[in-house]
Amino acid sequence: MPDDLPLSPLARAPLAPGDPSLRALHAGDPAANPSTETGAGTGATFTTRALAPGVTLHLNTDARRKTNLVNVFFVAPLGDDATARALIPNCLMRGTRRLPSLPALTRETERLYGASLSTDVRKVGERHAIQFRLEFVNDRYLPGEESILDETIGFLREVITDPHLVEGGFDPGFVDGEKETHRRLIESLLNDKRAFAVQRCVELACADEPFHRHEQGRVEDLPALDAAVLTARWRAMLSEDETHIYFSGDLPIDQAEARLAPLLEGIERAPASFPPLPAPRSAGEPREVVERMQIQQAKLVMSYRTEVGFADPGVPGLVVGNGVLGSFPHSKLFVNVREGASLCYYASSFLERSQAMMFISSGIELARFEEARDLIGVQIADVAAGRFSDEELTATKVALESRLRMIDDSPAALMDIDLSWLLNGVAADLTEYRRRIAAVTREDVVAAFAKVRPDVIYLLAPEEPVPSGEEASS
Amino acid sequence: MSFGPETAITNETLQETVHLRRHSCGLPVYFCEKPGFQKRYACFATHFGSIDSKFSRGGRPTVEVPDGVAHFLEHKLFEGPDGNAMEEFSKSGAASNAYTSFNTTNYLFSCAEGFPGHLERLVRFVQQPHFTEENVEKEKGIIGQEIRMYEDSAGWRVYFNLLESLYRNHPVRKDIAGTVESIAGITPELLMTCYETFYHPENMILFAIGDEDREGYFELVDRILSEREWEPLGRLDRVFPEEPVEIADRRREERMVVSMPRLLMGFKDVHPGLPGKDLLTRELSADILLELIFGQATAFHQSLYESQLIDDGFGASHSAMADVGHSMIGGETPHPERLEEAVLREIERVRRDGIDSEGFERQKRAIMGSFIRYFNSLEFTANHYCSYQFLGIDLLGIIDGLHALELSDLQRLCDEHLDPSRVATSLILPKEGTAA
Repeated sequence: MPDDLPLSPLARAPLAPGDPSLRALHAGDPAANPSTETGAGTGATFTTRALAPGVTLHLNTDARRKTNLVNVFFVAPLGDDATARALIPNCLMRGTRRLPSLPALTRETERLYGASLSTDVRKVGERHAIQFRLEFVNDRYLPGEESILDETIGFLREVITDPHLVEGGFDPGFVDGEKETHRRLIESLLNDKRAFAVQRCVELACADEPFHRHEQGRVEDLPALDAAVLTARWRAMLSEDETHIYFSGDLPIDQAEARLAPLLEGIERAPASFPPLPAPRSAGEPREVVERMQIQQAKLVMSYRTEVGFADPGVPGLVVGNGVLGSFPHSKLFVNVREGASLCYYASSFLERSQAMMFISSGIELARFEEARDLIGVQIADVAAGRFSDEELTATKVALESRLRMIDDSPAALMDIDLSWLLNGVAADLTEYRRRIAAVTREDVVAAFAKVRPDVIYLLAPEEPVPSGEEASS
Repeated sequence: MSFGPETAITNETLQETVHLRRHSCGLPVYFCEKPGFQKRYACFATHFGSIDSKFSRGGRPTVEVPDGVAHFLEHKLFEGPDGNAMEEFSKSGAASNAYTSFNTTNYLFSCAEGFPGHLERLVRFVQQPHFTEENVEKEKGIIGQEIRMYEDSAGWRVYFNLLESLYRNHPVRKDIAGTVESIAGITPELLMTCYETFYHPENMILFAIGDEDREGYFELVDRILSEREWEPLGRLDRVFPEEPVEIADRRREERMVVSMPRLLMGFKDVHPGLPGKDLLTRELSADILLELIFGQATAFHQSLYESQLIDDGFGASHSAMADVGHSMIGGETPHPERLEEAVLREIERVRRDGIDSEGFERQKRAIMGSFIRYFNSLEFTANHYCSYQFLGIDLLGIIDGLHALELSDLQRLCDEHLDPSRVATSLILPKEGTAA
């Protein structure tokens, strides 16, 4: 959307990744790792209301901010239809019955004081979530008596449930365009070498698990997806998906409920049943996989099986151990591998708790691959053996506590965490979670790391220079 | 040592107030209260960025330093005699970082607890340089790796190739980190010369924001700042080469491993000595103008989108600095020549037929709403407050500046700035055999 474009430099998010005009000290700052695995906030919880079978409203009053946030998630199992599902929001964002084009839709958001409507697809473990996110200015900040609250929520309803249709289906012209755009999006994933390397490692490590799929799907699925298929998939999303509507803003709960209850009203619901969540797996024989690309800096990604499931009592120990290992600037990977040995430009670890997995992601010089791999291995062995100081343990718990508390300021982060817990079958009790993190001992970390084993060691290496003679003859 | 009187800067639309007290050492100290927020954030910024590579202090001879020195200094400052400051923040529950832009180096932290201690750490480590032969040499390797990592970024390459094409002499054309060759010449003495000049309190800003006690904050800052005496900075001249209005190169191309070509077109703006207020008008006018020509609400955007020439990453933005500025338009595209031609034709059409006046008021509403939204962010408020101060602009005045804009401001800018004889084009093309 246009208001997400940089109105340079004012509109730029501070330290936004990819912001072309500034250079952050630690682009490899592990604190900037977009992992959702740090846990939860200070205890701000959502009041829930069941609206229809499989449709839940989650409400939170927050008067500190200048905007209201509505997040709607449609959730299904992560499967072969990920590609089709990923295209649904793109088709819906092309226009509604009342506003049947992208310019018409955009003019409406501009008129609504730059209401920011965006969509996303993501995977939460082996679930696939389609997201509609709407943030708009609270009436309190508008001139005079002006109010946009009801209009803006009505606009969101229009986009999700009342699209521009031609003979009962999405406009075939729009669909062809969106398929092509989507093909390019999937292909462009290789532009971000760091994320690309992580995804390749996931594909190799989870080859026979649904989790190997990318949330955007696959290029080879695209030819079969026409307007009829996608329209049917959209209708199925409305009627079958597990649906979560989140609201956070400056409105009393009952008023927020009254405003949002009609958002998906009138839809026939027939919720689908989900396959069970995956059980933790153990690692196979460690495998090294090397792939080549024309890049300057090699990327080393290592996957581990932790065998600690999402609801396992060992989770707090695992989270703290992961913090000692590689989530913070005081962590072992940063201090010993990046700073101490100058082996990496970045090195951090993150958990994929839904899959009982841990990943290490780093950028290295190719010539020092073995050295980096082995030194990273030593750091993990040290955590698993309890070889870390009291100071490292305390610092990690303090840092986690601080991070968890600050999440309370971000309704979007609170919603993400609440959803990821829900989809993993656990009620999010954030106060309790903080308490358990604070109580973690060295023995808890050692116990949680007891079954952590390496699985795939993936190296994305720069291509070796071709001697000029060979090049000429080939 | 003490503070001067307090000034309260308020904006009623944003419902924000910033308190300023100037310390007798010369440092402007700001505070913005955010009741109920868990996060506290502070930044200590210096008006020293990658473009400040030639300067003279107190009438002494002009010094010229290697490209990338501001960024290098930023890296080095974290390393004190007793260890790494970032690690120390991390251990005590705060997250710190820093960044260097064209005109600012900014040191920052956020925390939920223990704000006074972290603030003290911030001010102290920034005021305690520790440059040795050994640690300067080691840093050259680390920054060399960083430079190489950015070399793999198509977004970064297309951007700096464009700046090199737009500017002939101005240092904005140089990569913020410099090059492996330029940083090779950096020495501890050189870092110290820059440090003593630009890290003087008169050339810096301290800004804190969050749910903290205001008096307690100012008392603490006074105590830390009063520990040492400062000579006045004296006169500081930044020397910039004369920049002609003409661009350097019409076109730049580079091949990289990317799935799709990437096009970035730029228009250059040379305006030495423009006062802050006018700079703000110029920047806001340019943002609205570009949105009215290229934004998603336009028929032009629709035709490009429907003919698959662009995706939703296509956009335009303006960047204003003290003496120069530029507008950039572009994105990923399968047919860069066709997109380039379409953009130039559309600019020509708008210059001939005039700007969409109906969209002007709507765009003002949209931008006003976006600013209100950005002020949710403590980081946005603090960081941008500082960098705009260095340009002579008060960030809280932005809404009033927006209201004051007139269509004629945009029309004038369109005529002067979007001049087809001053456009440069930067293009990243897929390497042979790598295109998907």
